[in-house]
Amino acid sequence: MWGPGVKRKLEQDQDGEEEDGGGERPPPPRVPGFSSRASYALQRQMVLNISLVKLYRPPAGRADPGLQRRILISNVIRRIHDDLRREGGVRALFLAAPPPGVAELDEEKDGCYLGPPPPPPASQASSFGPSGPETCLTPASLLEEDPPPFFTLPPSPSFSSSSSSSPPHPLPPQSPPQHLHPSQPVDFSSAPPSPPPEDSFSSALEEIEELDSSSSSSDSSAPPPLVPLPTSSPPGEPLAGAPGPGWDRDMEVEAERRVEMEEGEEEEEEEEEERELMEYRPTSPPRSTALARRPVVPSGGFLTDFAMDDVLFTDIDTSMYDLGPCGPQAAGAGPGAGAGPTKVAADDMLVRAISGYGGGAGGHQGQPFRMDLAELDHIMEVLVGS
Amino acid sequence: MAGGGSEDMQWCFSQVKGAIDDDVAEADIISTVEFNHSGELLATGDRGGRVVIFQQEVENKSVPEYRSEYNVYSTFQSHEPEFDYLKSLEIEEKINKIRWLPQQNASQFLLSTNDKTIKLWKISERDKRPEGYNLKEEDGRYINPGNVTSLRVPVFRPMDLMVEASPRRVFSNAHTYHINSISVNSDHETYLSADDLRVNLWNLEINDRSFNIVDIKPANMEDLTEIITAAEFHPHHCHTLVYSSSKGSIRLCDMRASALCDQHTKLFEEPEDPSNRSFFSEIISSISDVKFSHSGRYLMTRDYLTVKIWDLNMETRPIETYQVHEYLRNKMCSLYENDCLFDKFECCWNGNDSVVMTGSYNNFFRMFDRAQRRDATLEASREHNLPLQLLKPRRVCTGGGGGGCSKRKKDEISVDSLDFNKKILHTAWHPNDNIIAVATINNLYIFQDKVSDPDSADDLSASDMMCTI
Repeated sequence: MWGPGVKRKLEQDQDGEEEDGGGERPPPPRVPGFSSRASYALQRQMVLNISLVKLYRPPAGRADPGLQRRILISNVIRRIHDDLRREGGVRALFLAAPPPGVAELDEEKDGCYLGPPPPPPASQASSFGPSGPETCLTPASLLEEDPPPFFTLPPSPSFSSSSSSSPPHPLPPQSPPQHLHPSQPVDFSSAPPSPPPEDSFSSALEEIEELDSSSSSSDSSAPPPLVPLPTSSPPGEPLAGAPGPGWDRDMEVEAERRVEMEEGEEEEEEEEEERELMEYRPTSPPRSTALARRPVVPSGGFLTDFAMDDVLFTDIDTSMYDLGPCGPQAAGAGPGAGAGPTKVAADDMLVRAISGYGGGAGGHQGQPFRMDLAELDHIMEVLVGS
Repeated sequence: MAGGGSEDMQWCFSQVKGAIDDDVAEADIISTVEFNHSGELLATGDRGGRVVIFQQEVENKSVPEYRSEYNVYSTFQSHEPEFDYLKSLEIEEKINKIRWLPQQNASQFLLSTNDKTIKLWKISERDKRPEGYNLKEEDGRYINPGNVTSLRVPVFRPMDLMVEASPRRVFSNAHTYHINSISVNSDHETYLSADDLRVNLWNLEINDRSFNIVDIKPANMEDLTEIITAAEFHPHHCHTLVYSSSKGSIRLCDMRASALCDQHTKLFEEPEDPSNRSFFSEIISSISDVKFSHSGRYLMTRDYLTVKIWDLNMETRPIETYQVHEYLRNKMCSLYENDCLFDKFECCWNGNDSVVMTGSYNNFFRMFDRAQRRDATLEASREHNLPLQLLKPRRVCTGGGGGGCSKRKKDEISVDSLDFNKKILHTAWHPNDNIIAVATINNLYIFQDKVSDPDSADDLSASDMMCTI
């Protein structure tokens, strides 16, 4: 009864543990080499992945799957996040993001599934806004090639004739959430030797990190959470307001990082909003913001995440790319959780996003963003106008 | 005769309705089953929006052990698929619930609902028609008045029975979310309809206005974590209703207390058993059905693994808890993945509230005799379809260690062999007799209690009949 993508060895290994029904209490270790803690974490991760897939792949049927199902799955995700948070540690920080809310599920609003998901619990709130201001435009170069294994977003029903037939939409590259530690600089530049990647995902990340090493900001510090301590942190060109090749790489890196760190959080938060905003967001000083950089705990946990991600990434469907001007034009989410009704005007959204995010990121980012607007508009036209 | 729990019941096959072949058309999947108040009529709704009503024939007195059969009485299309253009969503025509109104005249009335719209249907019989008009021929052609030489009075003459179903009211546009329950009030004037977040009160005569009596929608939808799963009026107190939630709690509201019953009068909730906590605790605690007993004293709730009986006077915990398929507890992750964990099983009381029944997987259904503290697992299957053939109790063995299931006993089946596509979600019990209607995916089985005959060789001893898992 297992879906595709579940590694057999994993299944066999934790066969005993599985029989406990995915219980929270770690079962007594029955398999040599597997600590109960690890198997519990694996189970938890598996349940989390299944939940995310379920949430964003509607069940067979042409009609709305129903609020109850979404609520129950969201609560499972929320529970796992709480569990992760209680566990504490770096990983918890990244993964313990609030589960998807149902703002987007409110059918009473103008008829489409609205934007971003809920603000996190108060403990995380600080400057949590709609999501990092660093969410950025997908560069045309990225769109033309095969999409990187981003976690996919659900399409809005307004984009397609029936929600169930629309495939998940690739997540645009986004920066890590602003709110976690706004004051700590983010450094993508560190492209240190990483531990041997467990799968293609990690190796892709590695490559991107290396590419990015020359273009990242000058800030140095802790490495990305998925990679061990950097051996070097080469200064990069300032990203703010810097279009060009470095910008593209930044996108990719950001995207990768965002996927990794916000497994539980990203799609739920972004959804429609991201898809629309992706063409507009400036690049940026995502470098200088957001993600807490700490000495990574090279626990098996992160690598485990990679392994689990395979479950999620097997089914990338790029048909959304062919939909043309569906993103920004369609009525979709407005920025910000609970920000209110949808705003259709792309420019309005962009400006609002900037101002909204600026509050979280620190106002200093406003200026460089605005300089990029013209650039973004141009790119937007290229992407969409045709 | 009232359904008795004191004698051991022996169930035998009576009838099966529906297509025989295994290729099930989605439109034929039965979505609701309901006896009317006398038990003479049995209504089913399906995913294609159709309602089929069966009528019990007049009892054949010459064969006393053979109760009357149910035959098709009326079939009509209740709901059609619609498209919500604003939200770009289809509105399914699937009939979620049917509730009969108490009979007040020669016609029968029932309420049927899909996700968004409730309809009141009048089912009436016509077995006479007027004949002998002066100006009209029997085939409808008009007679030239000049040719009429004598006058006559038209008279009613018998005709073949014709059953007509006509929609008398359409109650629409009152629910933003999917309607999961309707319940006719004991005052026979009003009824409630409940969706995921709201409960509305209607007058049966007025279809353009309804009153909201419960609203659990939070100001910020992101705070929503709990929804309404079922609601019902008290069978005798027209001011009392209950609604259940996805977190396993039941709230009783008294409409005399306030116009908006967001504040409950009673909250029935059992504390979670910490030893059973898992990621899926909440999903399996979500209540899929709530039913008052006929007496009005008790409340039955169905969650994924159990049936619970609550005393309305005690909110802290149920007075009885029955395990329906506890062997599934270790399979929850798989069931979550294949969506079975979201299945909504219904439950029902027998006529005198002594036995409760609910469905399970592999076309099994379970009965719990409250008085005798016994339970039985029976199967609705095409293999045992001889008339009056006794149903043999089934048993599910949890293969522990090397298998655990005795292969020799053909009535045993291991957990891993269960067919999770064959689920019995909808069951109904005749209000007065021991006749039950059990719906598999697309077939309706009718079983009846064998009238005990001491000379009959088919009698099984009581101990053979009931078994526990």
